[in-house]
Amino acid sequence: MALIDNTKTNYGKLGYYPVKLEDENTGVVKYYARLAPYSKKEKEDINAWAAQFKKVSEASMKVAFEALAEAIQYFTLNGHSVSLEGLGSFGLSCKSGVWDEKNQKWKSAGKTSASDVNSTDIRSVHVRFRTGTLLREKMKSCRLFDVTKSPFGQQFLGMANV
Amino acid sequence: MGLLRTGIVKRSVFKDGKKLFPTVLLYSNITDRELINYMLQNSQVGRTTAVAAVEAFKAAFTTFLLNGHTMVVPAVGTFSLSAKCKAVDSLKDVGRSIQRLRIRYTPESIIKVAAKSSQFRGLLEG
Repeated sequence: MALIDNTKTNYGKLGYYPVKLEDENTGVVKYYARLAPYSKKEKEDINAWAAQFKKVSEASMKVAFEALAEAIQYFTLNGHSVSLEGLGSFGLSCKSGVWDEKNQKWKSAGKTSASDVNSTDIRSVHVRFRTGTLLREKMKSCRLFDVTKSPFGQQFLGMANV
Repeated sequence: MGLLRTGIVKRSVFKDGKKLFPTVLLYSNITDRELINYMLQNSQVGRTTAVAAVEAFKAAFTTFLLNGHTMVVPAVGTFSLSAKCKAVDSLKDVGRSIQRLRIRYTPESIIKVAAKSSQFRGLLEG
């Protein structure tokens, strides 16, 4: 993944910090990067920003976001996929297995015959978000930089164990 | 929570060949326009505001998520970025260890609870 690409629009700037990984048995040392978390934008922050961005009152945007969330919930939980153009899609997936009565736990196992498969093999249902192509392209074009080398990155030095 | 349609899918299992598993089949794909229509029919929100909310929701991803922030979207869930890395031998090559970025989505608890109470109908050959 290119660190900086000056030939195309860069959509974001992401900081990372290095992490050291040492194999206890062989003593081999490797390094990898971890994304630096900046802040958590809560719903009030998103709401206020969205209202300013679209020049709508905060109260109206709050109601609209609630309606949007309700719509996404309604369709997703009723078995539809919800595709937001340029973003991605929400949909359901399930985890299946076979209930082991003796050990009182689920175990991963498929069946060999279609007549043996039934809905009791579904152990859980999950809502997933799948990133769309356009957003994935934007993610690829993000600029990466070592946050520990920046003036505001000193707080991440503790996380970077190098 | 509605009735979910189920089907059967064949998947390869390590050291066990192909096996059959139940799966959830989707009824349809809902687009932006259908979402907005639902919002108009089921809330007091006007068309302009509904469209603005959908556009702002999408733009928030580029503004916050792609600039390293975690986003909590009310009643939908939490979105954050994570990186898939391949370990490197040298500290100076750490930046190149990032192979790709991934969006992590954690649904709001109300959605998780609702998903747990799913009911299923029929199993079709898939």
